[in-house]
Amino acid sequence: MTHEREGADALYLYAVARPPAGGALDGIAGVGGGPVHVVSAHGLDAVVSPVALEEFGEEALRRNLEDMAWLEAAARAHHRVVDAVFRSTVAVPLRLATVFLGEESLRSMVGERRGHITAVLSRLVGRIEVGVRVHAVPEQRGSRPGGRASGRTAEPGRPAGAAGPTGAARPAGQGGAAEGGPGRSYLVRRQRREAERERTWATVGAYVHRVRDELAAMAEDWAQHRPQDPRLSRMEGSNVLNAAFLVPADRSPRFLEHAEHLRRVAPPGTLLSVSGPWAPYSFARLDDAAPDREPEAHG
Amino acid sequence: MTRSEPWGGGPPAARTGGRPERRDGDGRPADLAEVLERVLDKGVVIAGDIRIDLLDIELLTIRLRLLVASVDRAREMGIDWWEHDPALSSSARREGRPSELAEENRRLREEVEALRNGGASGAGEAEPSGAGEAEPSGAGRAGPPGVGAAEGVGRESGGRARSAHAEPEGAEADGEDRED
Repeated sequence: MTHEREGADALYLYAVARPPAGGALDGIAGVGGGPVHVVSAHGLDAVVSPVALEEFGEEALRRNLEDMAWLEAAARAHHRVVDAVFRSTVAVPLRLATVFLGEESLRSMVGERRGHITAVLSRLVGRIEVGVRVHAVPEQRGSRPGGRASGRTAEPGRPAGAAGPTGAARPAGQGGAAEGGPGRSYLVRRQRREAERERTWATVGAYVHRVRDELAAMAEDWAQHRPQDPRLSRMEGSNVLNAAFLVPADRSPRFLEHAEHLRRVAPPGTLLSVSGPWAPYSFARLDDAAPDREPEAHG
Repeated sequence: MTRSEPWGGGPPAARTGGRPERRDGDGRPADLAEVLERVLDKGVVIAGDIRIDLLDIELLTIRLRLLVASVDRAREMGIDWWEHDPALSSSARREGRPSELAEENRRLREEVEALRNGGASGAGEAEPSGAGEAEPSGAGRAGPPGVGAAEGVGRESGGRARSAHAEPEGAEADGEDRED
């Protein structure tokens, strides 16, 4: 990455904030290793870094975005700056790689969107974003004592022998190997596994709904994001809930307390994790400037 | 506005069942998923003067997510193949590694992927051999995130999506109906 300011011929935009945004920016290194400063425009503070088109021009960006090392450094720097701004004032965080050829162009953009930006800032002031994820590792459930061997797992609210979603009753402790030979016993075992899996997912599903409903009730807004790849998140199992909640700062202790409670009562093989506070990336949308937004479900 | 210390909950805290650990978000690989997701995928989109096709970014995000996944896990295992893959690393491009090594790396990666996934599903697709850097065919494949997009990634030719070819857990999870 370039560390020279000489070649800087463009401006990289991190966020647009309600002034004053400069407070927490001293010493923060921006993308490209450069300084971060504020451009005041139309009553708003645009937080920017000078960058070189050699690195941030269209072709260069396409190239660099494919480079893991570059991307990681840029993403972390971007987040670091947004986070620093967020500590001192309400701001609309931008997505990675918004670049302007000059200050005039930037000012013009801010001017055009001033109304929307101001509306979003008013909606976000005093709120934080909390990330909540649930991961399910259903395979673990059968490994408990008396689990897989008997084909039954004890689940809260589910008596042994209760019919699974397929409607087929599964008597407890039935050995399936007796009749019909190995082929049939294989099928019986497989059916049992399938039924167990369906019960597992039913339980996990109920927990996910509960987490979402109870936390949404304590938040001002919420958004459900697409599941994370399990290898990306370094979590075991499947990401069955990936949600963000917009919580007023003064309500966040209670919110976090309840999230912690939900984490403790997670069914076996299910993990709840909380992250944050984040700048409200998930709730800052300029294309929809209506004051009352519906929770957004990402499909 | 006052805020508490960040309490980014990452994998170790969740696994041990303890309180979410504080993470500083800097240089901690476990944070990368959450950071990338927000910085690449959320946040406001304002058209600057430099325009990247957002569809490209969408696919790029998915590709990179999967790539980052492999990066984190692979590092844990002492594998660093991407650093020697010219399609994925600028330093590798500079090194000009012989193609035999890249080919061997690719085979080893596939083996690792297969082992890691425990042969759980047939989701792994035959990798097209890297025939140069073909462009991702974006438009028709964007689709809904999750299964469709991920499978689309796996089919892209060229060097970029290699690590994405077998992701049974991701595909399976995405196939579940969990969203409103």
